[in-house]
Amino acid sequence: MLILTRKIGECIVIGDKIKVYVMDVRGKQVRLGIEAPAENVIYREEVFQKVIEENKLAAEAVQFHFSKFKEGE
Amino acid sequence: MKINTSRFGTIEIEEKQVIRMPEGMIGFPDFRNYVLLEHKKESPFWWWQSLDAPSLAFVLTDPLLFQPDYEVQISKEDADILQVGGASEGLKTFVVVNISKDNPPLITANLLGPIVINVAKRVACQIIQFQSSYSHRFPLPLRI
Repeated sequence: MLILTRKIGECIVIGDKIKVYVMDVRGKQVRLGIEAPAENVIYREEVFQKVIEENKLAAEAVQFHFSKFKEGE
Repeated sequence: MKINTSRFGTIEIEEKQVIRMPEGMIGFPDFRNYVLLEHKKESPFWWWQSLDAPSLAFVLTDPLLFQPDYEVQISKEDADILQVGGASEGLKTFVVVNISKDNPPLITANLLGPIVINVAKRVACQIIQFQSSYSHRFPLPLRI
């Protein structure tokens, strides 16, 4: 992993189209500004993790509840 | 063709019922072929049964049944996977249902990660709605 130190207002460039600015730092929170072409999806990693977790729980729930599901409804 | 499933035993489906997920379900990238089965007539539920893993299945529902203004944003990359041009006609959207282990179980739908199917092309994609505020545990007024 590349680790860089930046000051507020400074920027890093990824490739030739993506720029990440440090907008503000307050305590343990950092605000980032990102400029990237529309085809690059930008997201918070935890959203992705949430969907993985929910899919796994849903697949397990099918196993857990199946007998009930088959009779009822 | 015959397929093996843990819950329905061996079932016979037509080849044209097979729906490919080029990227799999999120968190399940190795399993890329599914079939959509009706749960029962008039039921709000469908089964999304993996053809590659007999024990892997999800319960799906139609989000428009309980969230009439539900909208899915599709990025250009996902549109390419789904083989759609500009318009989104012919796409069908489902959401994954989760059933908690509580008693009575709480039934929720994951509105954050809908499954979009191009019915004509038999291809599907689970598309995270990063720009939305949809819940991954939207409570459904349903019982099992």
